[in-house]
Amino acid sequence: MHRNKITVGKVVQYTILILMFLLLVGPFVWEISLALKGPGDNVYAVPPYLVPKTPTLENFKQVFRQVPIMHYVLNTLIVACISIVGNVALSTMAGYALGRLKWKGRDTIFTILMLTMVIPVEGIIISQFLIIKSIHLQNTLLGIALPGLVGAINIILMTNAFKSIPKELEEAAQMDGANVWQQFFHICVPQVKGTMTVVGIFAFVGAWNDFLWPLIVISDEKNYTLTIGLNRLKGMFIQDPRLIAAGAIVSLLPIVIFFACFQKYFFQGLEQGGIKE
Amino acid sequence: MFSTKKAVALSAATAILVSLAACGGSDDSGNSASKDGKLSGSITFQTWNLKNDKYTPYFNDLIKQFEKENPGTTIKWIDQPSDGYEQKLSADAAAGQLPDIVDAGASMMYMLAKAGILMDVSKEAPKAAKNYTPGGWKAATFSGNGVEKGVYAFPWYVNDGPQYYNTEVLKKCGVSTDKLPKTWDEYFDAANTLTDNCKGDYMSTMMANDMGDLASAGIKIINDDHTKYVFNSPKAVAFLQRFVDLYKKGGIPPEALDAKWSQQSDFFQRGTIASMGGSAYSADGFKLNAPDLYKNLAVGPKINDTPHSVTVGYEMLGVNATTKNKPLALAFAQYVTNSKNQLEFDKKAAVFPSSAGTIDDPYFAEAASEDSVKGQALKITLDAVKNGSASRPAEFTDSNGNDYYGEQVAMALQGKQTAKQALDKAVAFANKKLQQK
Repeated sequence: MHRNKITVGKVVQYTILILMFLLLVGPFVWEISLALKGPGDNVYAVPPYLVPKTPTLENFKQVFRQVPIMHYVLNTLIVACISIVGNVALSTMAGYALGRLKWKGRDTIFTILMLTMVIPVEGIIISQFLIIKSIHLQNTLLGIALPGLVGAINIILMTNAFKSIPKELEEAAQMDGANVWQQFFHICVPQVKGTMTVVGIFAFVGAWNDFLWPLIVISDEKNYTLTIGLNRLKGMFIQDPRLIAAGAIVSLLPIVIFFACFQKYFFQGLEQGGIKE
Repeated sequence: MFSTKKAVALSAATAILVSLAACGGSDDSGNSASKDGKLSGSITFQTWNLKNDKYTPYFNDLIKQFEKENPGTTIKWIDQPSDGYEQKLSADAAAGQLPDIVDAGASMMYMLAKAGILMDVSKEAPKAAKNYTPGGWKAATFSGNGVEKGVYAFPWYVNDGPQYYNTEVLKKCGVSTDKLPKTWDEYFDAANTLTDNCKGDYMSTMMANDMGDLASAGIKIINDDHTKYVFNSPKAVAFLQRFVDLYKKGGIPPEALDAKWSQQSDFFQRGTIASMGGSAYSADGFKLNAPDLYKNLAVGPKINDTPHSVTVGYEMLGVNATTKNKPLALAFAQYVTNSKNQLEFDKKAAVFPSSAGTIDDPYFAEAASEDSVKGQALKITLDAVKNGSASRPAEFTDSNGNDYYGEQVAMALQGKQTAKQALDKAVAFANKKLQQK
């Protein structure tokens, strides 16, 4: 069988894969190593080394002592949940309307949605904040989540997913007397579950990593999210890279766990969006 | 281009107009706030990245003490994290919810003053001037281009620093470590010796891309009434040309061209460069993160052709012009910046005071006499802070000239344009920004 033969192509393929792996995982491994280095380690040693000479968990303890991590994780989870529910529900509905229903002005709306994606956040952040303030949501977790409740990119993802469902499926349901809501819920939504998962993951990661907007909305540190809270680890006068690395690892763990749990759906979803009839 | 700052200026100006109309005519200025009767009520006091193990106890004690001395008052202390502070201030100013007292450096204060959101403390607390050093008071004085001449903050902690050297690199490349450079001529001599003897080792990341470099060579940055930048003089062109030549010779690392100032300490700790301008507290960081370098560390004065340091940095406390409790805000801002409390803070943070006379406290002389790198660094900095001044005009903010200037210098070093072109373009750009209301 020629399937098991080692070919030049395969060697090249695997070399590239291994290089990519090192490129992507390298910084992460470095960060872990840095977080475990103790005061006896030269952080800037040339050449750099990975195994700490004076390994310690002290940096992690420091992070947990200086920052009320669990409290901030909870805050961030609340924001992330609002964002996930909002994005999955709203962009699915919007995606169905844009992808499968025919109505006047549909293309215009779609174009406007596309255009909103190119506006940089920095340009509108102050007016956005003034709106949030005018409805008295400043300093609340809802205020952080509200502007990101539905993202244009997610609507576009869902629109494409709905477009790729074969027409016959819906027509058959129509023949059986299903109304639009029934077609939506029972016929189309099950077809795009994968993409919905992707949208959920995007919403989660976005909410988890956002820094500038929560910083502007929140003034009371009780309502800080993890990214703002961990920024405290940066010293005003002296920086300790070990501490920052430990903080980064702590904030990254939930994302890694989340992704590990849902990765099956993630790839399924990404492929699904691309299927053309 | 649409900029955040412009949006702030606009929105804040509107907010001010509205609030002026609302409470126009009320004129209770001129009182030394801390003395007229009893203080009461509450205010919010915002620091920048000072809430951590090291400084939290200091601020808690400070506030407790003040509240004890002034029963019936409450100070709410909030602290903002390190990153994004300028945006946070902008947004708060635009939304009319800037805290009563805010901690910021000169250029952020200028931005807020230009938006009309800061109190002119020379009017509201006229007796305060004598409590601060002239240099500090001057650093908080803004005028021109839409800002009415005034003092828009109380000076707080001050910093400057020495020049640090990696003696291992110097020795390897034949540069004498007995006589470290003091003037720019000596600096370039040392840099040339280094590049002649070693390939792949760099002198430093200094390349005149900082107003402090220009000012320390005795170059005038802005005219006296702050209406025009003048740093494209023949003297400035010749100065920048020396860096262009040094870059061509391989004395400045190419990675430094697009690097931020803070990255120079990464280069230095990695041993890539032989020298860096640092702060008095940098030595502690080196000891912690790069113990090998710390063993070979030497300190000298900042490179200067001027008689005194021109790179003193002032942190300040501004008072919100729309505060609901003016007497308390003015009183507490002055309390934090009074001599006794500044001294306490300086001991904790290895920074320096801006309150009059505090720097003569025996503590500083004693710390500076310590026979360690840190002691030497403190000694040099102490001298710099005592006699020095700030050189970067507060108007020359990152977006109003500094970032653009850095790009032009980088292009000049790469040989894409001449030193004169770079300076002319940067001056034209900054002048245009200066005239914008």
